[in-house]
Amino acid sequence: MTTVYRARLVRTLDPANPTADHVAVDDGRIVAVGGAADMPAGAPVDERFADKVLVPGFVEGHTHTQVGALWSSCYCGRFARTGPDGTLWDELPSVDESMARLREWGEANPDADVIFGWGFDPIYFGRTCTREDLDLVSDTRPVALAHASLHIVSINTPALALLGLLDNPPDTPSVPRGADGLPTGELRGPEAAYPAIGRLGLLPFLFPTNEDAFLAVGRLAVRAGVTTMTDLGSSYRPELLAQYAEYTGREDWPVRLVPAFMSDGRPAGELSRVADEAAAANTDMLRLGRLKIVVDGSIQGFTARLRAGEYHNGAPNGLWYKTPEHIREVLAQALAEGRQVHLHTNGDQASELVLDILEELVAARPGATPDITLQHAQMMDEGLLGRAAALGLNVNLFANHIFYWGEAHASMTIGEERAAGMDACATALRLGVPLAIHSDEPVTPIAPLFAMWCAVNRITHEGRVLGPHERITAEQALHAVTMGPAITLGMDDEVGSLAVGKRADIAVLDDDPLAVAPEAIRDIAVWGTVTGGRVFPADA
Amino acid sequence: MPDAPSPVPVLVIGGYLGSGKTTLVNHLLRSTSERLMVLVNDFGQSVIDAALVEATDGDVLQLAGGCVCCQIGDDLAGALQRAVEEHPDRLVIETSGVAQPAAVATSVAMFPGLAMDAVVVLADAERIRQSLADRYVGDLVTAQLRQADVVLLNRTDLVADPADALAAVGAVARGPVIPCMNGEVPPEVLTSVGHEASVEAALHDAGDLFWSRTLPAAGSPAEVMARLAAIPGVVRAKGFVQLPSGEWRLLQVVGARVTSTPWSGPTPPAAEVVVIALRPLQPS
Repeated sequence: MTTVYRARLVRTLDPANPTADHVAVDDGRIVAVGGAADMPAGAPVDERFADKVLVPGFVEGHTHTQVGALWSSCYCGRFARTGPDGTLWDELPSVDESMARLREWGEANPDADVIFGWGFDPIYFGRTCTREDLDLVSDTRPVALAHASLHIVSINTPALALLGLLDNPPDTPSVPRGADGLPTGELRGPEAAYPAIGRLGLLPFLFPTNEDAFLAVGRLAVRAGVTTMTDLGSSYRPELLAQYAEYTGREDWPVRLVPAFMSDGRPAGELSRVADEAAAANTDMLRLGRLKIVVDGSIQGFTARLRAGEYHNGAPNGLWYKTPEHIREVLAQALAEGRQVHLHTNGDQASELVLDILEELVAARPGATPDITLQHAQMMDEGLLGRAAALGLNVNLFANHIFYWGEAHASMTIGEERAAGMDACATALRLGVPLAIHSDEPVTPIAPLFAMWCAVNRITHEGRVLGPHERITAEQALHAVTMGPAITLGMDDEVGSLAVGKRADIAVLDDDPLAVAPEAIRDIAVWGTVTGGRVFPADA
Repeated sequence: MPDAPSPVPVLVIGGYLGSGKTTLVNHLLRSTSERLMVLVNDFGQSVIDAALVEATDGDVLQLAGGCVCCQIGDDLAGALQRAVEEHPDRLVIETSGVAQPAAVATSVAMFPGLAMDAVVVLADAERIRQSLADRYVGDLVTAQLRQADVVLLNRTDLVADPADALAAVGAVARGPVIPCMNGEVPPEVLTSVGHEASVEAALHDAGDLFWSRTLPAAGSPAEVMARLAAIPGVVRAKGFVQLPSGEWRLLQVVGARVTSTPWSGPTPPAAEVVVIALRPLQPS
């Protein structure tokens, strides 16, 4: 049965038919876009969006579903954030306020074995939190606070005692000690943080192990207007695959899920085999079969690989997470099979390595067309982006960084000049590289309108514009959260624009992101989504 | 309350891709008398000698002599927890080619039920100079060697003169560098030092590479450690020193790693230390 939605405005992202005020949907697909006269005769008109602006459902090309589990603990981030249930968690401008929030959560959850918070970022406070801070949360119950990176966790004295780290503290810089010779409570780096997280029984907070956590991800997507999202770097555990199949198959599951298996270093042929086996279960709501390789770390964590060989503040170069040999093997196999691969390359040296490898592989295989996206790619400059263009690669840039960590990048990690050139959206577009922008949820909140705002304004959290020459227009930014990411996922034939034959995936907005002032884009309210013709209000 | 079991000693085997880590693991499994638990990243990357495998059960290989081999996958912490529970004689961790062995040692240190014994890093004699100079991974290979307590310079049979590779590795390594072929060094060098007689017997097989003897260990732990540090090429040392208070301490040296821990076992017969060290290289 055909349904016609009338709207105040439809932004189609179809250059042949850029605006309309009616969309007709039948059996999950769009059958007409245009004026009232273009709609199928006799089809009932649904007026509920009559005062709304419809844009293509946002496509989030770099998110992680683990966030659903995190929201069942206590959010302790510097900036306000809305949870999956619509609760607004206020900003926390100081360490003390973070501790107060955690204390309240502990009191409200007296049965929790560990008082657990996430999202803490000491970069804004000039100091980290110590076990003394966390002992004020509770000096009898274990307390653990995961930092925003999820690579550091701070724990209190009872937690240190529970782990046996007070009597005989490990002799490693990852477990720094204070003047009293006892651990400060900070466990730095995954090598120290994850054993503690595991031993404290907190792993269920970091991975979506239950239905509630998984469904929370869907609610976050609807609130953000997202109708296709990635789980970029999932494991291939059979239990997770079973969860994917079960939850995305529910009638109330609102978002197309596109996982990419993260290489754990096994041989390329084996990766292909597990990806293909999993892809046999694909549906219109679940798209397995892609791969991800994490090449380096993060810039703010000083673990990204830089061409300069060291960081602005003198910190040594970052880490490789896979060998160049493994990356080459997987990419060679992917080129032969036409498989899609996403490569996390934060630092410019990581991006350069992948370009070096691909140039060699493509030269040896004339006619090969890489289906490859460089993810984050935050330090690609004109030269590197030009090489990506020549290879036909896509980039998914992390423009949100300018707001959250732009100041830290300018003062600490890479210095003012390179920070001003980070996430070079304008250069990528000028060179013809298909562009997406993303949140890396849970690293920053899933919110394509906010990502647009970042790419359009490049305003740091201190309110200054960083790298005005890399700002893009609102129209370009809208493309970078719809068609752009659809291209990176190879799904541009079915999502990313509103055109006849495509999926009826729509973001329903209160206002037009191309008409409001650029600095107001992030304030546009999202009414909800339509996915495959099914309507999902955000406040349901 | 029964005493907690003593911590499981841990051997971390590091080194860049292709340096011979899996070969060393197989050599250890063939030559050890201990009940080892071996952690590898992935069975596809680390091929355990089929002759040693008695049964396969998902992520666990049952091996000859009560040893087991498990895949780490993406959960090192979980694998370490299992090692605490299973309490093998020794835990051997084969790291991935890009791993910083010191980071793996840190994870081990987060489990009081485990005790780091040694970080052994392999280098391929044929390729190490090139790897150290590589524009992408040169600093990683350097860091791996620097984090080693003991370096095994492997495949010396494939180069005309290992002196060049020895010099390149020696310039960055903190600990002794042992030349070898196919990772074949006496297991006592990689694991633990027992009685002098058995050490001598084991080292006999290693030809002229090592010497071993028992040295008196009078004085404070610091004084004894200083004397040991003055001996070139100490690979392993283990023994007891006595504090002026009469308390005994267990002194253990693994190349660059020196630990001194309070001793609560039976009173040692004497303050002495068994030392295994590399003989000075003969000029070739």
